[in-house]
Amino acid sequence: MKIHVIENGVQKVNLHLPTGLLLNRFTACLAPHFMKDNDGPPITGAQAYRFIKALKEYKANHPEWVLVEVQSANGDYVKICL
Amino acid sequence: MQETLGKRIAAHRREMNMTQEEMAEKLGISAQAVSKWENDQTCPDISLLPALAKMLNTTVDELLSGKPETESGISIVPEGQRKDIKDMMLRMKVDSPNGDKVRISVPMALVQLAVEMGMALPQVTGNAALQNIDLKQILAMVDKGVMGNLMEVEVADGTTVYIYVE
Repeated sequence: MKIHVIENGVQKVNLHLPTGLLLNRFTACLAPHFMKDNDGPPITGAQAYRFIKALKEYKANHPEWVLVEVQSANGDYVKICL
Repeated sequence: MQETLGKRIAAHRREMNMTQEEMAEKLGISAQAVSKWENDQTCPDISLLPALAKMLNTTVDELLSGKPETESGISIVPEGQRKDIKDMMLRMKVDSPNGDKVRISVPMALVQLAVEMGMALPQVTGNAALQNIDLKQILAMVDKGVMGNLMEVEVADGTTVYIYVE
């Protein structure tokens, strides 16, 4: 996962994290608790793992996929690639 | 969207998981010619553009202008010609009146899973402007072969939301 944050034209964050570190069986087990705590829909660990697997599969086939790109009027910019 | 024709060709080719050699072979030209296009040293011959666009799953208009076809309309793709849902992308553009811009791209395969899990768009994107958009309806439209600009909504505060599938 790559996270780029530019604030007032200055690069504030340029974070590169291994996708496997964030998306794995362990985080899939945590997802149902996270959803419950944040009023999300009730999901099971198995469902979360299926979601994570699909996410990783898509990422493998489309390495240039940009998940979110936000540009504010005052020039701040955030880009998240998986 | 990439700024030059060459960059757009390269981006589409990579999306299709195709090498320059494979593309050149299908078009009956040399790999060096493709490399020159992608580096903006030369442009494809006009007679090659329809075949090139078809091969890259796009349109001549989009290749030349850089404007996604989805921004100009909607199309219904016949059953045999539809892409696999795994290769489709749901794109959301939110433009607020103060100039803030949000671009979100979610693979349709994930949208399908999210619907099965009972998720709604704000839970996927966290954006309140998208809260009344029904993922199930979007999925149903895509199942019927609807591609392109599915939705263009202007919210009360002037925020415009575009949703398109490509």
